[in-house]
Amino acid sequence: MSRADIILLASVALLLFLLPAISSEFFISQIATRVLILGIIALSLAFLAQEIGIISLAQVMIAGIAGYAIALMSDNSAGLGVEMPLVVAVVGAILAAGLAGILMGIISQRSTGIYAIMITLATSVAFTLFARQNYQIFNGFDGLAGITAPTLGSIQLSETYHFYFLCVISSLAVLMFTLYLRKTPLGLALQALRDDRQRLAALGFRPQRTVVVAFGLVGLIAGVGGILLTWFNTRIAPTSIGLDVTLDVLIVAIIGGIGHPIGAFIGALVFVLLETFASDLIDRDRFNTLIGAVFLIVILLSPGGLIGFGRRAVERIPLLQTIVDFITRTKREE
Amino acid sequence: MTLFFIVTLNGLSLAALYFIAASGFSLVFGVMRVVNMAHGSLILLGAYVAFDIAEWSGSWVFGALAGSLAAALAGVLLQVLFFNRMAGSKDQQTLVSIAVSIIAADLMIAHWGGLTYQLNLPSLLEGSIGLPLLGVNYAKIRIVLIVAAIAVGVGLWLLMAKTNLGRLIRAGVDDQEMLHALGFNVKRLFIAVFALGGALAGFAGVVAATALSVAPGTDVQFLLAALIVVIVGGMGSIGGAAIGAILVGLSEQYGLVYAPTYGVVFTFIIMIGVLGLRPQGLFGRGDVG
Repeated sequence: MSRADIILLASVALLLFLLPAISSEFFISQIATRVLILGIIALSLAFLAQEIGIISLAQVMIAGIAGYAIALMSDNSAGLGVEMPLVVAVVGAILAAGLAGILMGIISQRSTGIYAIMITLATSVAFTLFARQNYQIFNGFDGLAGITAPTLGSIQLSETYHFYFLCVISSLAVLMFTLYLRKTPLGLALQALRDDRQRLAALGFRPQRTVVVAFGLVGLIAGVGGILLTWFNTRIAPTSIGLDVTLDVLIVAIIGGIGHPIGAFIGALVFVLLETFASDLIDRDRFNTLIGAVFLIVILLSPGGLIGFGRRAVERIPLLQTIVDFITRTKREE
Repeated sequence: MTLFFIVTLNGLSLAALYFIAASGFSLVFGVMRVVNMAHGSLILLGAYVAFDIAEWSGSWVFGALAGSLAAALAGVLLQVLFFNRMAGSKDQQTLVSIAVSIIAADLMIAHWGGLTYQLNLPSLLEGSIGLPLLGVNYAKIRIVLIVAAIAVGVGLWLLMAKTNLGRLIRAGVDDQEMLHALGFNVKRLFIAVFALGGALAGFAGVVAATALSVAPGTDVQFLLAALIVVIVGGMGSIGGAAIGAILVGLSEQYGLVYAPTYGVVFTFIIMIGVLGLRPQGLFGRGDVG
């Protein structure tokens, strides 16, 4: 991690841990927690887009697979699956998502650009339809309900503030994971894959295998988000992973900007704030028009999303630039 | 055996509808490399406008014309307002079209509500005809649908192969810059292509509203169908779209009858299989993607 990233992470962590002291319970449970969960799932999309240049619309499906896995390994209303110890259930669910990511990677390893968008979209729609039809495992349209966050010793994770802190810690862990990954040899190979597939192959790497590994890694991230989402909603059903949710996550990732992992969380913040307070601005039924318009404006005006916009603002205003340079101790050549 | 033939005919008529829906999508992609995810919205818009005008004028033909024209205009607007400005970035164009489709779906609900609309058949196409050999009656509209799809396919082929516009479009597919350098107005050509693609989408909407019915969600349904059809067949290839539509239409109907529970998943499995083996689709050219 660079110095700037460490400072950024530390300030985000400080802000998130202090937030309950200065805000209402409603804000914590209905806004902050949802922002973090949505941000984690969107980060899995944004990170893949940033590192290997592939926009995957399968990330919500992969999060959903972790959600179904944790539900099947916990006590649920449908009585399906086998109840497992907490650690086994959580690790198992994350690994299931990683495996789903690897499978998605294998299916789309040769596709890039719009083809990758379409094949991941189609796979995710197919999975949703399958889950809706299957009653033996997925309990069809109703899905699995009654899944509550577990109790660790005396700490009840389903309680609003405890669950919020669980989401904060998970978000920070996922952020650190992605920032760390970028500097590893694997991370560099991923970026090389994005920049020039053929040259990477000429250097002796196997581009397709690298794609599969990348899909697997972001699958793990989506899995974390999927577990939290399922605990938050206390249920998982085909409607929790439908096309509209997939599009929401895409909007979040793009609005925030895919240049830096923090973008996914900024996008999620904007999205949840708009969703919660849209009824003050516009007829509640027209939320999709509003969010679609915001999405459109961001793509047209700032392809780098809000963080790209922020970056340009800093570069244009000398005072801000000086402050940022001072904080991160960057020395610039005149 | 009779059931099998009926199901096959149903599959082919569904394929005909999918082909008309996919042809405009494929045409636009073939020429401009634009994946227009708002194609489904154009289809639904065409259907709604056709319904309104048909109600107002009492004529199916006027409705069909108005629906196609409205979608063509919307297609031209998309090109002029958005795609034209970001010619270099395919992913960005795709994202813009997704944004437009989200807004369009919401605005169409605001205007036309959540009701299901169906266009009344022209009296000429009502009723059924006896099928030779099988001795069963079959809805006339479905037979006409297959004929219409063949007409659209042949028309597109004639347009592309035999007319000056078709030659220009094919030249544009191969080398836009060269065509521009030769003094042709590529911008106008592209607007024409979008108008044609939009008109085909609108016509698909009219046909869908006549043979079936349309409601919010029809846009996504037909967009997904068009996507799968052209992915299987190969983006930009009209022949590929025909083969893709037949595969998807048949598998959907066979799936419904012979494996009702998981029939809906069949088409996606076909697509995933094709893409895994041939990323450019059955008839696609290797240079895209």
